[in-house]
Amino acid sequence: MRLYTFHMFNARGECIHSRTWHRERESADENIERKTLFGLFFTMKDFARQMDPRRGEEDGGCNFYAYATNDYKLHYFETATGLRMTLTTDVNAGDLRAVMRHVYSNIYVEHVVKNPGLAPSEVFESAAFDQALDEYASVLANG
Amino acid sequence: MSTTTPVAGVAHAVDARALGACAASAMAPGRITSVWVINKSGGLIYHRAFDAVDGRGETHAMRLDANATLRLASVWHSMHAIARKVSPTRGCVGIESVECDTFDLYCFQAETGTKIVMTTTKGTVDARGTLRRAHQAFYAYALQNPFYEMEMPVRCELFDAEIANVVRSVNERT
Repeated sequence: MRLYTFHMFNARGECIHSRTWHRERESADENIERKTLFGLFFTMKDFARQMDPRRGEEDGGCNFYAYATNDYKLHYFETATGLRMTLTTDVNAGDLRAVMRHVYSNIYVEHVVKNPGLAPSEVFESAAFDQALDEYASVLANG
Repeated sequence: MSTTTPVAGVAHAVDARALGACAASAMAPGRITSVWVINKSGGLIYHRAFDAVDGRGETHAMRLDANATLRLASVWHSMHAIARKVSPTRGCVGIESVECDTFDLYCFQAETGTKIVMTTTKGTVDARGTLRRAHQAFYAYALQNPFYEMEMPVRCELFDAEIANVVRSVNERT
């Protein structure tokens, strides 16, 4: 499995962290691309909620957790606090919900939330986080 | 800081993948709940919803009014295009599938820009083949109908019948 990019957004839609392992196409303006990405999954979440065939029957709503195009797949994870993470991989990746949860609870929470020097849900730079994420990514890519 | 090593993390991920594969093989076949045809400018030209009964005997039905379907079709058209803009890769032409908690969505875009979209219940579906059959039906019964105007809503009995056939063949699989 090949991993392309990783992005984290807070509830206000700001990109608080991103990581790029591999990119074939350079974006013209990274800032605009991140905003576009946020807009895309924000809209897609609402779309999924409206298309839910079980709407009205039970609460909790319906969310999307991945979409695949012909040559990349985007995995999406959201917490109750409004923190959102996206990971793009090649299309052969399976269901990565467990991976996304692992990145959140064992990497983000451990290295950012529990770090008294960093404010949660704010833009951060953390070498420890990057290192842990890169290590996990490299085992995923080879595994 | 972290008590879980990356390797343990991957074991966790591999377990999840194996579990996913088991769940998929044990999963009941997916049922089609709706078929949409969207023209190249994002207009909805055909929509039909089906009541689908899943493996547990629960009925899934889309309850959308005409305005909602028109709006959602054009939203889908935009998302399909935007996914290309944020692609990290070079050859992306648009979204082919979306996985959601309670349903899956599959989309096929023809060279002409016409999109065939279908939603299914969770389960295994030959999405590519089914969408191709639906597109063939569109070609055979709408585009070849001399009274059909390009990019306009499809009102052809034979197309309706053929879509119903395709959906029945999927929804009555065991």
